[in-house]
Amino acid sequence: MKHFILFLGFIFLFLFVSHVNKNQSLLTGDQKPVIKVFAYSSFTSKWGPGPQLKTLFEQKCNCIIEFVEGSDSGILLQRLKVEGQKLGADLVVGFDQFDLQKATVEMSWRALDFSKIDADSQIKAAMKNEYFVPYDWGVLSFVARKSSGISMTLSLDDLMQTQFASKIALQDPRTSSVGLQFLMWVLKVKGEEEGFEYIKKMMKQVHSYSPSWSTAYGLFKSEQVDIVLSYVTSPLFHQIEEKNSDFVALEMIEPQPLQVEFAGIPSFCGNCEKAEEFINLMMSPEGQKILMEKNYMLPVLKNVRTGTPFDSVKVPFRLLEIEFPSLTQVESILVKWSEIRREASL
Amino acid sequence: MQRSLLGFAILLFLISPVIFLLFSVTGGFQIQIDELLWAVKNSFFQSFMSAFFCLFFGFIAALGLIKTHQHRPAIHAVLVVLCLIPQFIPVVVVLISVMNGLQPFPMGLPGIIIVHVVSYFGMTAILIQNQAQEVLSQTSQAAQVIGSSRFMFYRKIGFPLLRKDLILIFTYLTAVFFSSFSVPLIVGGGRGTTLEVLIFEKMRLSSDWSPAVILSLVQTALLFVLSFLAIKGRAKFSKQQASLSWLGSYAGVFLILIIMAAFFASFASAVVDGLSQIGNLSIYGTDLIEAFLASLFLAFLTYSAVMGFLFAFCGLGRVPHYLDTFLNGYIAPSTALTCFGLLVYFPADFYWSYIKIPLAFLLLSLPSLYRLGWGEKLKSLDPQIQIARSLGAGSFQILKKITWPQMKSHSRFMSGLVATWVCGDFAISRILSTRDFTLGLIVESLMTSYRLSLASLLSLLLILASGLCFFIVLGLDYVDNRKFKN
Repeated sequence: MKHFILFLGFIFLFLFVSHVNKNQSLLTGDQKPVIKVFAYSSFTSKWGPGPQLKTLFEQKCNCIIEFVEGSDSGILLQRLKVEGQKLGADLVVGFDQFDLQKATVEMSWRALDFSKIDADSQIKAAMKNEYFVPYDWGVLSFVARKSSGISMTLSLDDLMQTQFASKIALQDPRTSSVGLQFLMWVLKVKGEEEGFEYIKKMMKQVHSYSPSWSTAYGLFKSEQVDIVLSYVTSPLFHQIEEKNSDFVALEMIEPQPLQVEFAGIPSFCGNCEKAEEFINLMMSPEGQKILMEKNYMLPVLKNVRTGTPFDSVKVPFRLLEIEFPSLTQVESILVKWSEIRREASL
Repeated sequence: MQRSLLGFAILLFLISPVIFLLFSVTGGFQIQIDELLWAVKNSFFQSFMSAFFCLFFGFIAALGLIKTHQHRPAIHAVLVVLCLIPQFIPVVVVLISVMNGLQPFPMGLPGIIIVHVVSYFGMTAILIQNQAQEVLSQTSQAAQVIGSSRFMFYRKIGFPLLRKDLILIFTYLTAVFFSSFSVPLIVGGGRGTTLEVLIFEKMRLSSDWSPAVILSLVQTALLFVLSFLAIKGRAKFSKQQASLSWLGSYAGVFLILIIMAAFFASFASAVVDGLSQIGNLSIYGTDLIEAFLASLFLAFLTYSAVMGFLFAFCGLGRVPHYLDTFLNGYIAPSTALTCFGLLVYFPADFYWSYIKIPLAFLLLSLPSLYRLGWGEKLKSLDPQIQIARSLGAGSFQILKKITWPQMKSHSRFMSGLVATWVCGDFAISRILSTRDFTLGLIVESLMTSYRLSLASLLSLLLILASGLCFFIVLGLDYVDNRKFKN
């Protein structure tokens, strides 16, 4: 019995040492600098853009890229706050426009200037940020199945029709940035008073407010709902990877919101220049193509889409301007939303 | 003196995450009362209803177990395994299966209750059957002789005798559901925010964690009250073997078979959907094998940690009253708070994940294990320990010769159970780890993208890892018992 346990112990110890050796070269005394990149999990996972960017970068930089994950930008920010300095975070990837204010309040960042790059006209405003660089973007819309017979053009008010009762999957704005986008969208288009009235009605109309985009999209995929708030690029995933052309992003009558993803370098970075070089790679045509194809988001650089399936993505003619709401503004809106949610469930 | 110190150290260890956080928060400890009351209401509603329906379906299923217990042992064994499956497989699999099977799935409180009931009705059935076997054996024989009907027996004798046990099971389930985390988070749908989810939301959203700490203390206090409202469990481990078959019913057998058949069919359909994407798994290469082994390694570490802790606990000999009281009340610590507490305290490097995750599971599961019978069994050894002490035996001798030999097998089973949970975990690992290194984390990553069908497919591997882990533990126990006998 003791021998068996010892045997198991040795097997696992061997596996652990091999794992350590493979991932960090800690035991070989490798002196290459390690660039720690904090990112959300779908960026760093095998099918995300992270591994390919890492390979490309490591070929040139004589350094090692190490990813530190957070499940989403909210957890990422908390993790950065708790562990960032201890771990020596060099670069953070994955904030959206709602996180920037919070990130700026909670810690200091290195100034970055990418304003001169040839960016897509729709997100030029996002390029002006002093500390964060936008590396991809998406337009939010409702995604449906063509076969469901839903009209391809809708207004926000159309969502209140009886045919959509309990057939819309939305995300909780407290835990999902897509959910927060919807809330801000409604308030922007309808104004605060009318907007919150709309949200009240939506509480009864919606199937559920999922904690994340993925849970809501799962409900849509399993046909529990007819439409889900997602990105205009979502149908392209099904077309390319599942060879299924049944999915479509609905065109909205109101101007649609943009979600922009940003990267930034904390001021306590240890390898700041290398981190900036990594951002340069992300912003190069090669990096932008990887980000576009792996993240299923639109590239910031002009012309990267040309000649790719992403060229067929219909970006709505009318888009909302990108805004960077303050922390207190977001918090007060979320408090109000929570009150409405509470009242609706009483 | 030594015993008191050890007892105090155990107590301190169990509440250490709260201490870590109390020292690191700087806010004004302000909370919104409306929000708190709303979350408490949701927590109570979902936990009471989940426990009620678990007890209801568990009782019917228990009738099936009682019916087959003596006369059809093979069928009984199959039913017991079926009942335990939802407890052993990862939560993510239960969620995939239930959400895929029920269309439209009712998000919110009804959804939470359904997932809880599917997960726990089987275990409840086994608990009820065991108690019935113990409590009703003698009276049932007499009732059968005088020609009482089954209904009359339950009405006049069965329920009154089982009442305390049923209340105990109900309270235990209520406490477990009260602090349930991943199910309300995913299935709550914005309408069913519970206290535990609110704690997570506060920790995730705000830079000030003091409201989360306050909420967690409120939750702990409520659980204490809840657990002391219940009658304490009794230390009975010898079961009489009188046949209760006439008290059972095949309706219970059908209920178990129907629920589990629907469960498997729904999961199979999700897996079949994923098969069309199997080619995409090639991107992972050998990483899947590594993740499989890493999951097992993590389970092995957790198993060792829990076994080590239980061994140290046995070193107490007689459990001090204050510790027993604490463990009976501190049933289910807050998952979010424990994880963030460890996150604050321990170094952030990836390799610490191998320490932090087992530690989190140890802290979160110990009170439950104690309450699930381990504590009662340890306390039942008190007379033996007293006699040994009066005969001059030392603490270590008592541990080596009396306590541990009798607690070993039970401890091994409990540790194996926790190790199995670790194998399929993603929620705790996601907070505490810095990269996708286990199967659970890979499945979760797939779920957070468009690749949901692939996640369903990979969850098969998760089940395999959990199953393997549990059978290794059972194997260890078997080998050890054989050796002990020889």
